[in-house]
Amino acid sequence: MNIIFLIGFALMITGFWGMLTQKNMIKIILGLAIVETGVQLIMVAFGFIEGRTAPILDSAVPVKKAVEMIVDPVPQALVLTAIVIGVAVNALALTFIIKMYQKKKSLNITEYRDLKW
Amino acid sequence: MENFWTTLLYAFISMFIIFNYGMVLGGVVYKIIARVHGRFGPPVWQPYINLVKVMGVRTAISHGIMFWLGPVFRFTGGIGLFLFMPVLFGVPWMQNFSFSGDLLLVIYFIFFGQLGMALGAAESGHPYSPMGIMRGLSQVTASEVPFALAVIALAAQHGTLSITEIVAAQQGGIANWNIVTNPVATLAGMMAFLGMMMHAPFNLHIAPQEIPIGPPTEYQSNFLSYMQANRAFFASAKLILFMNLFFGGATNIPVLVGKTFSLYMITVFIGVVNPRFTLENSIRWFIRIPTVTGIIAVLIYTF
Amino acid sequence: MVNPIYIIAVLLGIGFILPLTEKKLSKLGPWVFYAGMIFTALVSYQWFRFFIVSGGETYHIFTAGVKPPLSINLQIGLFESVLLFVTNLTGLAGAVYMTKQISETGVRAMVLLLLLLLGLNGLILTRDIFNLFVFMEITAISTYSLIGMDVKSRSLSAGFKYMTAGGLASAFLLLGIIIVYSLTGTLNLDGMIRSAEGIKNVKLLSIGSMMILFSFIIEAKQFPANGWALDVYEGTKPGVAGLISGIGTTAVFFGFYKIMPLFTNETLKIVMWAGLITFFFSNLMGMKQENVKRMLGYSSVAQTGLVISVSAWSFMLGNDKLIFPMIVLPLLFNHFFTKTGLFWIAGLVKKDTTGLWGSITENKILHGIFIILILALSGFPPFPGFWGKWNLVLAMSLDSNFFYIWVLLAGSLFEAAYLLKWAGITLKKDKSKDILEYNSYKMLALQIVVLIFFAVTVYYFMTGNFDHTNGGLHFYLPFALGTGLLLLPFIPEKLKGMISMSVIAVYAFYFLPDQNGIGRFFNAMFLSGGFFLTFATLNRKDRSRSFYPLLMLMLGSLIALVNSDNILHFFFSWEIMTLSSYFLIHRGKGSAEESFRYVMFSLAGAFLMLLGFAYSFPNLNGQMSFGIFAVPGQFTSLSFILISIGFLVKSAALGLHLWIAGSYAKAEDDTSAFLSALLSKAGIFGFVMLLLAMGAPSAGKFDLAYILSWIGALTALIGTMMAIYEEDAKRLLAYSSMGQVGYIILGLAIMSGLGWTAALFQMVNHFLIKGILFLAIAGVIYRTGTSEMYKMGGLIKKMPWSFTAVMFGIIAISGVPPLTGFGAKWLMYEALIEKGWYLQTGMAFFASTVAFLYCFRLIHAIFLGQPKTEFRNVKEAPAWFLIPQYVFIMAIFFFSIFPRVLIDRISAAVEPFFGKSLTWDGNTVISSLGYWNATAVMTIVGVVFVVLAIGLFIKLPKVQKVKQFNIVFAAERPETPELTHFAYEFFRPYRRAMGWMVRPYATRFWRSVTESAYTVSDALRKIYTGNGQTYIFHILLVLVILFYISTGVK
Repeated sequence: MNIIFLIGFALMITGFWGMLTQKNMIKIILGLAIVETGVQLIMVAFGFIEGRTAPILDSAVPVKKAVEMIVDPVPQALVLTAIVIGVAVNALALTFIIKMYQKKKSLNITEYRDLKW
Repeated sequence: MENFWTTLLYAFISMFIIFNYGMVLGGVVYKIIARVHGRFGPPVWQPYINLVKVMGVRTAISHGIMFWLGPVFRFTGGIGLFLFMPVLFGVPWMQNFSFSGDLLLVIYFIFFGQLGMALGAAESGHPYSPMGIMRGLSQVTASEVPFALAVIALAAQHGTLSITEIVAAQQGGIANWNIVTNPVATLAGMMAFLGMMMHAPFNLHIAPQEIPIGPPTEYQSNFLSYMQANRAFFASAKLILFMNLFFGGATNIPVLVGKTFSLYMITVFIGVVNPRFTLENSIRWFIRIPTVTGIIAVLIYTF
Repeated sequence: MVNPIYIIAVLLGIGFILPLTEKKLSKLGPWVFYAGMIFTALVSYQWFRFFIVSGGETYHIFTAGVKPPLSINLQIGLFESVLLFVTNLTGLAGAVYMTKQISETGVRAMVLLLLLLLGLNGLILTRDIFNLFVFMEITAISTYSLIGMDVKSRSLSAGFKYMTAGGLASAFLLLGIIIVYSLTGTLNLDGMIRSAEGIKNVKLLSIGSMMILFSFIIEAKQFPANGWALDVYEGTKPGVAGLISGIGTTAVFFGFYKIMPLFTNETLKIVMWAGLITFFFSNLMGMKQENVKRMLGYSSVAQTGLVISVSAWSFMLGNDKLIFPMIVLPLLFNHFFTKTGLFWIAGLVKKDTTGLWGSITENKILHGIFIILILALSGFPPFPGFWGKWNLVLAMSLDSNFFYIWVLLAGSLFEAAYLLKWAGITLKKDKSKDILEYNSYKMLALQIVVLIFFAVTVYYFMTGNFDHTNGGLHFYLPFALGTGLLLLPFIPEKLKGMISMSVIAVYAFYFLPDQNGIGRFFNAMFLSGGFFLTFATLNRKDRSRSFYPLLMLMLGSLIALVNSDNILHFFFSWEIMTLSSYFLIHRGKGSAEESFRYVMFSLAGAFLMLLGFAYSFPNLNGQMSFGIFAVPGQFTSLSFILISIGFLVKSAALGLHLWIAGSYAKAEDDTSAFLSALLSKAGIFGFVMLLLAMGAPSAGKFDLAYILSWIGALTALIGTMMAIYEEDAKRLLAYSSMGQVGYIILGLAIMSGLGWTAALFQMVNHFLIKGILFLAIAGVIYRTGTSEMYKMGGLIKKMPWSFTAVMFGIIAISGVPPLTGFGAKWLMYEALIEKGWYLQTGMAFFASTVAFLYCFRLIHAIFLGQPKTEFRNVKEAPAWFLIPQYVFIMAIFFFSIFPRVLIDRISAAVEPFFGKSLTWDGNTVISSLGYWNATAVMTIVGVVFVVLAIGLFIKLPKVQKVKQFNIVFAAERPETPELTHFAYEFFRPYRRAMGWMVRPYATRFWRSVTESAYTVSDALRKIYTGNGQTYIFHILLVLVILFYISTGVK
């Protein structure tokens, strides 16, 4: 379980590194996506309880025994929502990048500094 | 005010005396200056002659109402200054209207005539008039500083601003005079006195004889007569003021004459042997040594 | 009552239906959209009424029919309903504002607006932290899209930067949520807060809450992680920017507010100072800004920081229930409405740089709204921001958090600086001809917002004056006339002036007899002066909407200042006075720079005064009466010094006098008389009140009254010295005014009965004289069109009445007997010598002799000497100017002959505090040192003068009268006599000898202060490089700092 935390943090750090060093805007958004993935991993890890199964009520997990058998379902629900939102934001960001590219023919973030100070 | 008429009568008497005294004093000064220059000089009564002569001049030009009023202001200033001052200590008929105010009134009233005169002369439109006025006013502001400080020191010393009381405190021999009891203030006051008496080196602003500058050149006839008569009053009044402040005042006329004459001679003698200061020179002079002396005089009583 | 969940449902529903039915219902679409908007507004209004009017209890809504933690719950209480109502109403206004955009882009814009509103409503309502996250994301995504709708490189790149920041914020919010959840086992906020106290793993909890905090710090655009936000404000269309800054920020703030109880006091402390730092630095950086939208962005960021800071502090105190409505809400509303309004105005004016905003004057209503919003944003009364800041300062002082107040007021000063500068540009007369887009929908939206703002203002104005016991309404009465006249722009100027005069008279008639002591004395001066000086303004021919209202506001504030009986009233009047006088000065030609300098000095002074109040405020456990100054407290002398500086600024004391010459000179000519004769007495009144309440405390070894006396004496001397070198008559009089007021300060500093009598006598004297002189000069300028003295000359023949007035004026001001000036000097010197302050006496004496120089110069250069050719046909000044002058002259003569009338009244006011200092023997006034009989002096001088004049008249019945130009000098008639007028650089020799006294040390000092402020401002804002990556770096830097602090604090 600790490994998952570590991977999550490692992903986050990687994402930060990408956001801070890459000039390409698409790569920056990818960095953000990696950060989000790391966060999502950590979230799931928080809800994990040793020896239990996924919180899906099907034939394997009868409703009555569910509370003892499954891991905490809330983080999983949260992660689902977070993934959806993350995807939406990233998609929107990419469309912005496309539009910006159409205007200036550049993906370099340092080219977009009309607004400053 | 039951003896109002008496007061008035006394005032007229003292005015008469002081006018004649001032005129003669002026004549004596002419004489002294001439002798220093190696001339014989005019007679002592020359000021009377001058006065009669200018009164007889037929040409009188007026540039306007303010011009016309200028000498009136000036003369009022001279007479008023004299009237607000007690002349002889302990002599009821020589107290004038000194009940009207104390030392501050006298000091400030000096400006009355000057201001009115300045306004009148300036209306003439002659460029030299404002130039003379500018010089006069500028110098007055500088010479008033040590004078004011000296007066403040006296007020601090005696705890009063009443001239009569200041004189009263100096009675009983030369040891009680302020020149002895408060020499620093006296020194400052006397240096200011040089600047107030319109003699060299501080007479750039009147300088009428050599170069035609200043109000007197614009006035003729009776205007000038007022100014000349005023000069007699004004000079005497200032002399009396300084005598009262620093030299024990006077209780009778001979003492008055003796003291004021000596005082006047100081400025005259300094005047005749000195060249004339430019305006900047005299201002700088006043705000240096005399002012510092005055500040010392005041500081003595501050701590 | 409609369940608020329907708001969310309806918004969401319409948001889904619209795109689905776009083809079929294309006509109906907008109607459905607006109906949805109106529905939300109505529902929230219903709740708002429920809580405000009926005082209902907080209502919880549980989804899915179960209680938390198993369900998501919403909460609507008083605060939520208020916020909901304004948000939805403004949202509706925003939709109206963007009508054109909506009709162009169709369904997309509508959906986005609906979603934005949905997110904001959710943010306000929800009590579930994950739900909070979801609504925040909905808000964010809809905002990104709204920004992106304007497909331009600028807005797209701004949106992109926003997204990177928002993405990071949401990632950390999630992380924080999950950590806190894992510890508390619930997502419900109340549950979390309840169980957070029992958590053993404090470290993990603090990391979790730190991450939530970090996320909100980014979302709330705190310094320095806010570069993206500034770019967004600058790059976005004003309609959207207004919504982001107004309702967006408010909802995010409220979300932040809701989770604040989760934080420990250490964390809250970080939030409090981070918010204040944001406020300070954003305003500092805003000063250098010329781009309108970015400037508003800086202001917006700053205001948010302040609101957050105060909220965090309120939770630290555990006093949030009281502080929220008293401080947080007014500050928030002030920001909310002004910022929305100003962004929308920016959308109407369509000028990016502030310098081009002169064209806004084309639309009077828009301009009026603009000015009001700027003033509200700058924190002037009576707008909510004023009440918020006022309460904040006092509450902070009770918490002994004085450093906070210093930073707060410094930031406020910076903010006022750039806002007023901007407003000043629009007030300039030289407007560029630009056709404004007069979009009725945009105007309508703006008016809706402003209308709500007025309602909010009225509410806070009524509740802000909770202290009605002292006749609150009676106090505000004097302001009513000015405000009333503002609403009557259509009536003729003369009528307005007459109305003003009659109201002043009526007020004096009814209220003056009831007053007593020093207050009555001051009010008598203000009222009579106001009456006669207003008479002079009847000469005006140009119609002006603002002149009389401003004049009456200024006069009203002076009177109210005197009537005030607690520090709130005092400060309120002071601010109104500063403001109205600023605008009055601003009306003058070419006065922009000077009036700006005036208002900045005044404001800085007012803020220092407020600080001084704050240092004394805790003395009486939160009472606002002047009694706080009488109680010796820990900071008595500091308080005294700070308040004094405020008054010294208004009195133009040496070192703080930079504004005086310029603003008196550049103000309109009849206004200058008000400024010098009346307004300059406000600082004096302040000193009177302060010295009466506090005495003269000493700071360490220094007796503060003694220091004050030197300030007064030096002001008198240097002010006078500066006056004599001026070529401009009004500047000369301004410096003269400075010097004369210096005497008054000197007199007050003596702290004896005689000293105060002298000071107040001098004050009346100065009031009368400056009334005469400024009006006389106004008349001259009215006829000649110039105020440069050397360009005139010889006007005595054309304007004998004005000449006579000036002559009496200068005789009185110079202190020559027999006029009143001598009385003032006499009292002053007697008091000074009695006190033993001999050096100050000497200096005052020196100053009074120097005054002769400028007096003579004034009258000579204008009226005497030779006339100029172009002024050979000028007429006497209008009677409107002359009549008040001669009324004042009569007053001077009356007081000169019977000074007892005046001195007795002053003594009566002063004696209760200092005892008897003067005795009378008939007409002779006797002090401990000397005596003075004004009646005798006047009689003797008068008699001698008349006798001599008659004598001269008899002796010289025939004087040869010559005309001007009839002169000879150097034995020649000058061909162009007008060139012989000796007036330019009149006292040049004097300057050569004494000029060292008037070198502009103070000017240099203040210039370097302002320049360094601007330099720092410029250097600091360079951190916002415009590079999105730099912003990411800033954000991560803040993360590291926060992490370090929150773990280091442990």
